[in-house]
Amino acid sequence: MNKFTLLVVFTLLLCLTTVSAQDKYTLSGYVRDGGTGEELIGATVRILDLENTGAATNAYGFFSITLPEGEYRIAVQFVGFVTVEDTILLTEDKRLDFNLIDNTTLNEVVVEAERQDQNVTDIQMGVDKLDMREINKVPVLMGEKDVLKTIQLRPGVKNGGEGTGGFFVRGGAADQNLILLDEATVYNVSHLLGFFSVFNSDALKDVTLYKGTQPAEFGGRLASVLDVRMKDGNMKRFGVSGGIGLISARLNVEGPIVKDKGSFSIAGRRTYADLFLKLSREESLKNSQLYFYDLNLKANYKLNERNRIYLSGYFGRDVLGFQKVFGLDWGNATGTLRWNSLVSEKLFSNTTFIFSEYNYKVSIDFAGNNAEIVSRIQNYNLKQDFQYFINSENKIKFGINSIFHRILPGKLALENQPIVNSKENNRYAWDNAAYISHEWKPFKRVGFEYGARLSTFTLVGRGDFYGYNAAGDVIDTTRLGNAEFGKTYVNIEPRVGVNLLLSEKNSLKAFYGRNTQNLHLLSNSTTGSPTDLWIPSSYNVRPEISDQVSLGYFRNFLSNKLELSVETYYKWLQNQIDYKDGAELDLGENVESQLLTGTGRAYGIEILFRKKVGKITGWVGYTLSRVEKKIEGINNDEYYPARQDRTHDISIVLMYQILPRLSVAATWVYYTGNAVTFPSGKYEIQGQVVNYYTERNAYRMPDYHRMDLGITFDGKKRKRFESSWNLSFYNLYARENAFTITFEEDPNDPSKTQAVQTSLFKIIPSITYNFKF
Amino acid sequence: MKTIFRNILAAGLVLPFVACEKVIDIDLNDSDPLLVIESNIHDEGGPYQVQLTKTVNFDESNSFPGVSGAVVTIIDSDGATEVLNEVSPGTYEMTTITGVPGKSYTLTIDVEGESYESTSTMPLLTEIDTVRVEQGLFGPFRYLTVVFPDDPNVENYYRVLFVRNGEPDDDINVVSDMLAEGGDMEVPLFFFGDDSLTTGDVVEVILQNIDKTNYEYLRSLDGTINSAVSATPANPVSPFSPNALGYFSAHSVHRKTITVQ
Repeated sequence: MNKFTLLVVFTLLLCLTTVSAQDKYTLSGYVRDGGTGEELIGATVRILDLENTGAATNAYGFFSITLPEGEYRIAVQFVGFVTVEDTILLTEDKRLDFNLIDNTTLNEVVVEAERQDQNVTDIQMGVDKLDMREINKVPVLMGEKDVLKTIQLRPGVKNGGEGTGGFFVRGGAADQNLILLDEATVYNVSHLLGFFSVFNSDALKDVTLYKGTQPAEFGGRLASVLDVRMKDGNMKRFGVSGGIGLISARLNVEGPIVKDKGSFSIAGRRTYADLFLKLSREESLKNSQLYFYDLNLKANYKLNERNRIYLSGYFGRDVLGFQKVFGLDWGNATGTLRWNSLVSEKLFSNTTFIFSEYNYKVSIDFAGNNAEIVSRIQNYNLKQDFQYFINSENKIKFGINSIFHRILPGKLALENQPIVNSKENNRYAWDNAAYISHEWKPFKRVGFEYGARLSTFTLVGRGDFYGYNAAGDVIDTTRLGNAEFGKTYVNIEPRVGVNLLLSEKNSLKAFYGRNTQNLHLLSNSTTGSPTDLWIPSSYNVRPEISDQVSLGYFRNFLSNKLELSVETYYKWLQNQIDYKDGAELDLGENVESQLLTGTGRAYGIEILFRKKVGKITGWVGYTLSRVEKKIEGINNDEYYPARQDRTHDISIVLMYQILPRLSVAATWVYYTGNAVTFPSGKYEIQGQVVNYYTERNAYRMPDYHRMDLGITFDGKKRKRFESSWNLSFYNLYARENAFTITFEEDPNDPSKTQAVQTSLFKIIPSITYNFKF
Repeated sequence: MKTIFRNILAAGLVLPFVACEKVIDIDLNDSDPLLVIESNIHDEGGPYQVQLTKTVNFDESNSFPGVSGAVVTIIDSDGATEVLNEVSPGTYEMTTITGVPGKSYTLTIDVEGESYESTSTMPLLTEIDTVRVEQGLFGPFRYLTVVFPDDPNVENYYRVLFVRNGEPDDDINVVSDMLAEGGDMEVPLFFFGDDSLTTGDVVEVILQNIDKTNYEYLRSLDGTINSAVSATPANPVSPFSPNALGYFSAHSVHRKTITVQ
């Protein structure tokens, strides 16, 4: 590995020397939405006089490009915005900010901005950047537009099934996705057990998914990184937008704190189905609760041209109560304090302090005896990231990251019985990482991005850690005192990506990367539950490791109007976790004795055919894939399909702008049923017929398919007031998709057993009214 | 406990969406018949039996063939041995062995070229103190609380069963003393909906002291039976070596009958 570090340092030095050899100057600045002052992420600044030369704005809208002295024609582009062209004379370091005009505000008919060919020219592969406008049109359940549901329509990303918030990327389990909201980890993305996600689209600016091919600045999960950024707020003027739907209402207020210096954005959402419960005559329903809410807050202020402070937070909660007898509420809270600083025209620094928490509380009242279970996971995270824009061929990113984890697996408290109150058996861990990555374009048509991440994970006292024998009995105890360091895992994660531009229109890309994961989610239900348990790596549970190789072909047709990508991948997985037969996952401190670990493999091919401009837009995605595990003690030590294994997965999304104010969107999904365990026989014990299981996950749920339709009608545009009606139909042809399959005694013939399928939704129409002024 | 949460959750969340159920055809694989052993020894007097049956394919009817011709042997911790007689196909009976709390028993079954073995220890007897009828907050439903002492110096495992108006309940209700070391154990028995407890009901509560192996077995059997929402349904932990389905349990029993006022 030392060789690798040497290589990085060597290249760095090499670049630095080339820089000093010529008269070069730096053009840097921000690209913004001219209407709102919001920085645009991933906008491109292209130098038209030089083939394949340019820069993209980073997550804060900043770009920097260093070129030899001279005059250049440049084009600044962003999807959905009118391209700005300009000629600049570069005779000294120059700071230049660009304000792009949203093309829909110009004309009611969509103006087609020149399509970027980023798809082909970017070194990154396995990346999916969602267009927020698409999200608003794709039809979803109850009309609640949702980034998570939209991203699941892309190849390589599979939904966790109806009624689950989780998603699966390239064979990874739901907990193998790192979900970041303004860099803060969101541990549970589900509302109402997963029918809705915690992301209120009104508050979001940018959503990018890396399918395990993320650059070295990200780490901590095997399968993917979903990087969600909140809106900064309008710098120019106050604005209010919102919507009223069947089950919820949304409101977003934004505006300048000081014009062009600072702004804020507040977005809230709450469901109100429970308000109808109050109207019920049934006493038990009247006193029940069932709702969720989200609150997104963000403010930023430019201290000066070089320094800017951001503060953002998210608070969301689900509350479920049955009379006063049973209550369950859960939710996330995150906070991010960030300082952007331009150290120089070429060096961008970002310092962030992040707090993140997920918790749930269950309370039960048995005849005045209150029992309460509390569980939470928290982290405190300090990050320092640098981006060094050396010249147009070289860019270096490096940084460090330190996270302190605190996990309370579950604390049971019984009122009136103080003896029973279990202690706060918190688990502590300290997670550190340092990374460096270099984007290097040595030739016009060849680009590399390579780097490495060094990560360490240390268990910290206080706590007792148990060792187990094969039967699951405790055989030894390691006791760590207060703040005492225990087991430490060190991992080096190299990542290399290459882009070979075959022509203007097509390219070949390859990637290799290693990811490791030290937090693991234990969930023993098919649907996932708010009470699923996070555990850190420990003496028994080793870090999960994934090595992925990926190869892709990217081609654009018809002057970039159509794009095609074909990506294949193979992943080698180590230290994968599964449950022993008959495992009991409870709050107990011996939950690790219920686990087994082994290896896994995942492979597949993803095809995406996409049209991004014109009256008809949309895409067709297809994935053929497999993911299997091999764990001693399960399935006779043979490979077996992981729960999330699905052979075929198709999604079709079509959006048609019929009239300037009328558009229709339709989606169709089809996938092979998940791998499940069904009985292969039965027997009788204590007078009851019991299922006999032979192989793990050897059966399939029935194939799933569904069509959704959405119609958006825009109201007449008035001076400052815009509105739209959205009518959507979920499961248009009322397919009865299997939610669960259970085996039970045939009521007509007790000597027989039958399979019963439960499905949730037939057709669900909904209507939403959106407004903005 | 988690199952209770999940059921309530499911009821609360899924029902509003009007879930629909239908019977479907699933082509399940055939399985090789596996031996199923069921045997109890207790302190309420014999004769104790050993039942040997086999699994059948899922689509077959619920008649489970007895396994004849096995050599079934039992040895207690004092060295007393008995080879059991087959009294009807698949049913073997003990005549001399008696169940005594504190003793261990080893059951060996030789059949079809394989030898299965399991040992169970009969825990000391715990007597039920009281059975209280309590008013629950779940609507009008009343429930019972079974109270009995727990020896804090020993790991104890219990199973609570009941027979109401002559009808035995088939719930597997096992508890460990993890939650009540040093104190009394209080185990609630619930009666919901149509089964709700009414005045005049005669309920016989049966407390079994079971060993750890059978606690684990019954707990995982409960998981197998109620595995509708479990992601990894599996067979219960086998108390036999090599693995066979079923169990062998030596337990002490105490009964108390109440009439609901």
